[in-house]
Amino acid sequence: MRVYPLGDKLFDNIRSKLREIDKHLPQKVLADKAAPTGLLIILGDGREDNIVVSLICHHLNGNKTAAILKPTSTRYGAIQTLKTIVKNYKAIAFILDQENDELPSLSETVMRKLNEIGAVCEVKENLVGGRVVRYECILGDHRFRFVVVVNGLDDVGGPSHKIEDHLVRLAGVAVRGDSKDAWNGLGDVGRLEVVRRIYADRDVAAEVFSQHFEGLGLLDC
Amino acid sequence: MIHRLGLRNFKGVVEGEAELDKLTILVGPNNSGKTTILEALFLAPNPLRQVPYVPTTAVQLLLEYHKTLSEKGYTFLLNKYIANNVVIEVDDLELLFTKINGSGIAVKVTYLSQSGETGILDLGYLRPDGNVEVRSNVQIADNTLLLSTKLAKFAHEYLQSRWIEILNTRAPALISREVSRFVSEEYVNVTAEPFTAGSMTFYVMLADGTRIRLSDLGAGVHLYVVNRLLYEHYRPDVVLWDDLETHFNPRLLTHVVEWFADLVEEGKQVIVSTHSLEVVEKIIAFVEDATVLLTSLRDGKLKVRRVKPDELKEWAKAGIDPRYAEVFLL
Repeated sequence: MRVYPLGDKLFDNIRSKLREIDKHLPQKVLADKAAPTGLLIILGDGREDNIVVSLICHHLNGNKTAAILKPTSTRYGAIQTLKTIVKNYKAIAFILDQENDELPSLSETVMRKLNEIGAVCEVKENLVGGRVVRYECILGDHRFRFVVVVNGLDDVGGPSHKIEDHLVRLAGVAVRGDSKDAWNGLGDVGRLEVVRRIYADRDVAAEVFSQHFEGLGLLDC
Repeated sequence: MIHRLGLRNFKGVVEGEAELDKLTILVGPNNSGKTTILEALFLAPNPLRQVPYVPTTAVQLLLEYHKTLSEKGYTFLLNKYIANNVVIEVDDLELLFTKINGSGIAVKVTYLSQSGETGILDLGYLRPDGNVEVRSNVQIADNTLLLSTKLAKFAHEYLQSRWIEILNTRAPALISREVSRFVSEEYVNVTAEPFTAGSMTFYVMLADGTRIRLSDLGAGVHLYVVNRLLYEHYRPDVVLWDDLETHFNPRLLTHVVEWFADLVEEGKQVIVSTHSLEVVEKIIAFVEDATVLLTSLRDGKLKVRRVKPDELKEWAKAGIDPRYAEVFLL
């Protein structure tokens, strides 16, 4: 699946990072043209999510294109975006950090935020230990699938879980405290090496980012 | 004021229409029909009328403007270069281009007379060799002036030919003083004078009497001076500016936008195209009721969506850039 960023900064951000890995990679990972396939990925968090998610999409679902966007409001606030854009999409993945929330509480908050914008949703699947939740929703007369993917690994880092849990796991770094600090401590070269590995080794990436593979795989409905 | 433009088989547009306002901003990706809309509006008052450029006929100017090698003739106006009939509708007028005699094109306009009957006026003929036969250069709609970076070079010769008239207005001095606010030097006038033996050029004159060739100034200043001189000399009803963001520093751009605001206040109409959302925001800041039209062109179908300023803010908040997402938004 190729991704098509809907914002200028996001496009430049993903493209420049892909070029760091391989200057031919943008053509493989990014779609040149917006294709109205009805698939959308909303990034709720973080500076690393855009490149990680783009590379995982590259490993998934052949030649389909998913639009991707990063709203200015982060985490649950990003759900507000649906009001603006939902009618164009039939399957939407929402990716956010777990942070300090318990998974059941996170799921409840997502449901509450969906209800606040007028979406009526039902949980249909709960996968990967609650880190992937599939909702089927109706907003107005528009039906859509909403897949929440929660970043974080229980056995990495401190109480706050995030995308960096996966990245430091891939780096093979022992973490004491916050995984973000450990990730930042790797330096530019170390971090690039890890990101390069997500692209180069699908099997390892699928193991470390299991909820992302599972959740983004549900987009191709 | 021109309220509505309709196009059929004009250049890349098979079909499409746009509702226009006192100040309209066309925004969209490359090849989304923005320039085509402006060129149609430029031709609309009469493709065979005199305009302040060399070539002096509107349609001949567009021929030169689009020329890459030695191509001749006006088939570039026809969709896919083969359409038999082209229609540009402006409010209740229809400008018709009809292919005849191989690649020659007849230009006519149909209009509603005061008694409610439809009349047809023969405006002339566009010859395959690039020449034109003018049968009427009557102006049938509000007069328009197309301004763009690429057209500036066609303005110099015209300005020189009319310099004696322009010189006797206050425009050159006023415009040069205006642009002085955005550069380090103090300009007091624009002059046309000898350069090297037997040749002429335009200069800006500094307060101490020294001269700088107009074309040696920064591109933004050069463009603004030429376009303002053209405007002040030609005084069109409608200003069309293509790719407004090109060459302008934000301060000079603000000045241009303020000039647009003044024009609108004077009852003129302004229609601009841009790729820049910063330009859109700037214009909306100065002309609150400016209309933003998001354009898209797919398979010849021109789609235009009127975008409210609030929607632009909402999209920005959602991380959506209409220049990337026009397929989803239109």
